Amino acid sequence: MKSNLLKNNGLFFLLCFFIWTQVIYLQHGSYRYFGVPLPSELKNMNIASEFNQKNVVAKAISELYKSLKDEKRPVERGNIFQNMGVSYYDLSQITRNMTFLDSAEAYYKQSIDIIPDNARFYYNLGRLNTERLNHGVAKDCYEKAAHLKPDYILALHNLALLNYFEMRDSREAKKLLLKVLSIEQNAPACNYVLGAIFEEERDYDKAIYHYTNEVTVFYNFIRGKTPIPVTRTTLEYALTHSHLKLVELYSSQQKNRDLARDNLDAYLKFEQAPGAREAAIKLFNKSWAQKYDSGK
Amino acid sequence: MKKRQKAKQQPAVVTEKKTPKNFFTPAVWLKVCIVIQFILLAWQFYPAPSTNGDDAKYFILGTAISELKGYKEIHLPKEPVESQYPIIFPAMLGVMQFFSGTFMLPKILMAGMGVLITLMCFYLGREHFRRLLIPFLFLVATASLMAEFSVILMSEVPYLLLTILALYVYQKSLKAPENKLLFCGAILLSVLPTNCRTVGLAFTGAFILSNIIAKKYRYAVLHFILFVLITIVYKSMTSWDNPYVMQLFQRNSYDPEMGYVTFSEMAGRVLANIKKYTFLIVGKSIVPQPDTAAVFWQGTISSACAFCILVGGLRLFFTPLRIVTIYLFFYFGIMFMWQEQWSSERFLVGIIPFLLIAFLYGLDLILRLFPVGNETILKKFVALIRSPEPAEPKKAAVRAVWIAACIIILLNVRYQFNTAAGKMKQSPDWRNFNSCADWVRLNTPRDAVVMSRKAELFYLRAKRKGLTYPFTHDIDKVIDVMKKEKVKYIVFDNFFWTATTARYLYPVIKSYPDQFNVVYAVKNPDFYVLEFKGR
Repeated sequence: MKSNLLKNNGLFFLLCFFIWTQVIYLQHGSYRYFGVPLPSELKNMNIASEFNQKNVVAKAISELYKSLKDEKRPVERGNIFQNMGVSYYDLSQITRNMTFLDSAEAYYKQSIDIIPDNARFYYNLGRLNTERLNHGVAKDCYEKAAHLKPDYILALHNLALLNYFEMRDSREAKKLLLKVLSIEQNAPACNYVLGAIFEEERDYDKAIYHYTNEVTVFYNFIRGKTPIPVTRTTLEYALTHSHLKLVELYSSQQKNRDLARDNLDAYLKFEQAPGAREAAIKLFNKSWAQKYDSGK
Repeated sequence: MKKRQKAKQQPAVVTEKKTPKNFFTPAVWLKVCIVIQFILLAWQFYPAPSTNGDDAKYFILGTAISELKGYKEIHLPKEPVESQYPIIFPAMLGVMQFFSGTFMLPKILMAGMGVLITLMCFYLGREHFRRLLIPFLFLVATASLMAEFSVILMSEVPYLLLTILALYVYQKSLKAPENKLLFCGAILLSVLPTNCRTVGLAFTGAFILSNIIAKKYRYAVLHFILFVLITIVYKSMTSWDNPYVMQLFQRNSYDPEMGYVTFSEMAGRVLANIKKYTFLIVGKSIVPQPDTAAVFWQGTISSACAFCILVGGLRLFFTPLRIVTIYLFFYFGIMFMWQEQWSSERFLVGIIPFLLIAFLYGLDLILRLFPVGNETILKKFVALIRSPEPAEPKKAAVRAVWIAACIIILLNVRYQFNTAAGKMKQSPDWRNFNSCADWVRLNTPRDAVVMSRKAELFYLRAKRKGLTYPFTHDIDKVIDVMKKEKVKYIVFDNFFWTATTARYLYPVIKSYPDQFNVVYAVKNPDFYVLEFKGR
């Protein structure tokens, strides 16, 4: 038997293979493929804070340059120009270096020259011009985007805010905001602005309705349901000011002390500035004989 | 001197009696090779799937077969029928997975196949190139490229084993033409390589052509008929699509919209590949070198190896192993037409023993040319090429071949020892990728579809179907694919070896930030799992 094992190549191979298998099982038998995830390293799961980092954007730009070097097809080059524009725009926001906006604008324009019918391209150019306070140009861009894609919620949203805050055209803003909300009821800041417009028109019931909706939108944002990318600061601004407006309206128009007080409580929860807090409490106390007491 | 004279005077019968006393017969050297190869493979063995993604896909196809789901890509959302990879290797894996669902058993059997190749090389070489057999066996047993592929689940090693087995049985059958069993075996085995790897078409071509040249028409005709029959049956049962043929003519398979190559582009590709294989890849396949090695030395070593292989290949043409020369010719023909981005040592695994024997044949011939003497070098070259095994080999040439073989063997062994340690280690990027997969497995619905850079590996670990994002800069197209495939999560990676995610996926996220939420993140390098809202 021993001599057979040594003489016969096949048997020798099988013997070696058997021994080898035992060694491998001894060495790696305890190995487990599936593991448990490492602890997540983010407290605030926010895209903007994570992806708006200089190194992330710089890597994307460098990769896009490589793509551009190899790409020959005009349409794909147009898409690359657009993506480079977006990256340079981000870089300008991160570094606060507005010269990057020049690069972004040049790339946006090149991409529009090649692909003139993409609504997103005009929307991005609109954002860039808003940043530069070229409101007229920004308006044209948003309008072009909304024309190419009538349900383009981002363009409609920005156009509405531009009309209200910069162009002082409340009528147009109202029309656009109602359209945005008909497409997406959780659109942030829209209800706050609409509330302000209705308040200006002295339609207090509708104003209260929209301010209350803005509060709901914020809590939906916390649950991850916000459809429009706005910063938490913007959302908190819309929330606190909606609460404040509700304190005012429930105190002066609808005379509901409990609701006014609830909104004041909610406002104070978010507002940290002592002066603003004091002013809000003063506003409440002016309308009600029973003064505000944070203990009750 | 006297002893030598005595030995020469001794009658032949006495010599025959003395021969069995020589302990170091080729069979003993074979056993030494087998032991060495097993030791080297044990040193490099690791139980996890490799990170190239292809072995994960083979394993998934094997799983589909073992679970009787058919030959399908079950990791993709719509589970399409697999039309790219031939079925033999996944079928082997499917059978193994009946017994064990882990990677260990298939990987152990792969290593066994790797050593079987050495054994089969012995049987094939014993018949045809006795004199170079021992250095050849050592070169095969220690070839680092083959070892690398013997511890991962890729079809190269089974393909190579089937090729050598087919050649061995074919040669046996040629020697015993009356043996019908050997004839049938030779025909049956000869169609297996093509059904293991599509590049096996080179073997089919070589088998048919060499038999036509040798006027063995029945081999050529029967092989062709069986090949066509199997192809028709297999394609009818799976799909008539042939992505490999398409890929051969595509400009860039990662971006199919770039279209197909023109004749001049193909000529350019062939020239570029010839340059790449001659001055880099062939050398690295035989004499492993780190990527950091000087370009000059890489080029010099590689071109010298390529020259020896060319000469050896020519020399083999005049031996009974003519089929090997034709096979190498067709094989390189396909390699040279292949997309340049994929040209690598990997594609030479399937022919590494043939390259090694051609290399040895070539080196032996070149060394025999010197000293040139009265003849012209060309005349001597032609004479040597036509008589590959001279009765009295030059000792100096034999020694030089042995020295060259020993150096290559030592370099291969050293390379294997040096690289083995790194295989078990998980680099930080893969650690974080796996962590994302673990998180998805434990925190998402079972039917969630995940888009990631390595969908097959992600499927194995996360047990969630998925796909790789399209390589396009058209953001809306990417979003459309996500919506169409009902993608629920995407993995934003920062792999060290590729930056396609930064190139193609980053602009998508930045252009539609409202569509994504970060749900899991690990740092250094930063990997994120993002939820896609798909509105």
